[in-house]
Amino acid sequence: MKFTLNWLKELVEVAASPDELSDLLTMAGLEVESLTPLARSDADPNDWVFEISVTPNRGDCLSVLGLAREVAAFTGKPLKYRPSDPQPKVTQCLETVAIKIVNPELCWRYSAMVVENVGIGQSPMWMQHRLEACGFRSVNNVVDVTNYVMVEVGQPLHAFDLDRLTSGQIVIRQSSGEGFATLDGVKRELTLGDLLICDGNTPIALAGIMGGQNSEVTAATRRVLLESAHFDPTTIRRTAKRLGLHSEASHRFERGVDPARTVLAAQRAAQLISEHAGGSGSAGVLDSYPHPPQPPAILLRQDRIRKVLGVEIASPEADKILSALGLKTGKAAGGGNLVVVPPTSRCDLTREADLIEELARLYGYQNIPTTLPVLHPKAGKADYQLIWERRLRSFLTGEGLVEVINLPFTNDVLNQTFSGLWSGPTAPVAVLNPLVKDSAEMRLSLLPGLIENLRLNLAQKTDGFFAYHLGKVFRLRTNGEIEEKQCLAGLLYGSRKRKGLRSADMPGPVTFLDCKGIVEGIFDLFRLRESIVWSRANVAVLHPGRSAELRRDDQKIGYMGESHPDVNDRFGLSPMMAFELDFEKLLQYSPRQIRARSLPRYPAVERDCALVVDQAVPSQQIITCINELGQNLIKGIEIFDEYRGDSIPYGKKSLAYKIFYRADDRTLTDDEVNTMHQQVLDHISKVFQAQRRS
Amino acid sequence: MIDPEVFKFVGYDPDRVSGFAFGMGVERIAMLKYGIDDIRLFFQNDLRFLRQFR
Repeated sequence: MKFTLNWLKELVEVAASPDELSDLLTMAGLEVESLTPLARSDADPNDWVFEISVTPNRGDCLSVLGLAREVAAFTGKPLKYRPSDPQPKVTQCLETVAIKIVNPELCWRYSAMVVENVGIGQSPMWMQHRLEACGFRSVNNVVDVTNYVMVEVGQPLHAFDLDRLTSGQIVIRQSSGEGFATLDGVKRELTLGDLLICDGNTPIALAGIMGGQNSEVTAATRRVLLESAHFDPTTIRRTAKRLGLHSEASHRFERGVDPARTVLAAQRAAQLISEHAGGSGSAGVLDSYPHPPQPPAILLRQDRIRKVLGVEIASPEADKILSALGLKTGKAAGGGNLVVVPPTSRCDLTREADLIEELARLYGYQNIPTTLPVLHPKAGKADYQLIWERRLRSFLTGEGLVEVINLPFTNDVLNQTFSGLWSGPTAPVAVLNPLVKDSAEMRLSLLPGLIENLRLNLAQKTDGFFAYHLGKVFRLRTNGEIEEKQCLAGLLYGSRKRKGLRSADMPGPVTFLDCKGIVEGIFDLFRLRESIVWSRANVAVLHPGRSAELRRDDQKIGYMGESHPDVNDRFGLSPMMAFELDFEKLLQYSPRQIRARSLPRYPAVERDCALVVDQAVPSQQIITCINELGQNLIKGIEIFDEYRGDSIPYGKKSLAYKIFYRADDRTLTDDEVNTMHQQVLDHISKVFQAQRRS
Repeated sequence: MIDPEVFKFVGYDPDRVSGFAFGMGVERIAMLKYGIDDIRLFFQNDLRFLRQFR
């Protein structure tokens, strides 16, 4: 809301400089957004334009008078505003119209005045300048007066051309769904909730928002009906929002206009119109005010003030502050308690808490001493999940990865391709009001975000990208519930090239085994390595031959591998290595306690073997199978060679293992070991159609 | 100070319980601490930015 300093000075004595006034208003809760000198060359150099940001609860500050009251309360300087006097010139027009309010709960008060013998023309220059400084366009002397009084006093007014009204009755009623042309030329489709001002049966204005084309003041107007009314804020807001039609009037009605001031405003406007448009006002004011509201009597407890603000404001001082704001105070039962009645202009004050806020505001927030709260700390525990997240981050940083953070939104196309590691029917969660079309769904997987990070960084000419993202993914369950899951995903791309003399020796582009190493390292960190089963993956976005699914006890923990060629084509990238793990499962399965195991008391015996199997057989399966056989006597299996080539038949590979046999209670004899080893080899040969390779 | 209506809504008696709330943008605090000049950097994930924070 804009106003000028000189205008304010007409209503209240101001001794402060513009800067001081600006500080005062800001500290009072009316933030001054800008303070600029008037733009015109002939302007008073001592005049300034203030632009303030008024919070929605302070409808009373959307007028110079309201602001003047605030300034008077804060500075103690007197208000100068007096309602319009002298009285406007009188003609007998009382029987011109009758007022009928059909919905008194939506229109609390309707006042009107008639001004006759009006000559439409330009407003005086001082009024035009003031209106322009406050952001209004000058229209004509009558319309300008309605705007001027609205800004000055806070009461929106509307001027009708009285000769265009025929029924002699102003009816305020709800719409029955008719169409109506507002004075901006647009035909509006109305609904039941919209409030109308009607000439008999014919709508002439959209109440509180905008007048109609059929009744507006034109150059030919000779008689004016001035409307000064109060409308229900909720109704106005609903209509304005639905039609996308906002006006200075509707803005004020939405935030609360003082119903006690309608007549005053009408009189002031009639006076100004008489002075500047040559009119003569009617003697009386038509006023329909069926049920004047009673402001609440609020109990303000003395001890409550101290409990909320932390500072003592004794009853006499509280009384003084609230009176300065225009509230009526009286003593209430109980030491120092007051009963307070706010004026009708302060519809935002309804409870004790509101009064205490007014006390704080005028006492000055800056005057409340600063203390620290007294807390009684209890021995706390670090959060289990946070400890593990920290450890995980340290580990990954040590592996050379950086952490990225991405917004949780994505689009339907990416969600269809990257469906994450969910089990069971998975539907994405839709965003009700997305900022951007491409961000209309919550992500099912962390990978598309990482790929996008990769692309952006490639555009910056980076040659290696090693990153992880620890974040949530979302899906919609069939019963309509939204499920979240904390996941860890990583993307490795390019070379780990280092600068320097030996850079030629440095490893080339990142490989599947590099990625596997990191994933195994993560499992090591969570003490899960032994219990994770690796199997061939069936993930749409990963290369079928170079990917693995990770399970534990038949629960899906995640997947890793090289990106599928289709994905590479789609994004125009070379193959990437990626993994996505269910962090919550890692946390869940990680043993909380380390249980130490005693050292082996008896030595282990090694045996090697080399097996020729079909290329499709995963080594992990063989290892698992051997472990199952071994019962408690196989303490370790290491793969140490994989060979394809000359002496190996086509379509097969040779895998070489070192098996460690050890008993807990005795040294195994050679015979025992040999027997066991033979059993293992026989079994493996049968299960996997393997041949021993000598 | 937390509005008494909020307390009532969640089942606390505002006469017995009071509270205060405040907000600090974590990114903005980080910007002050590390001298970062553009808040968008936190979400762009440019390696040249991320690598500075190990």
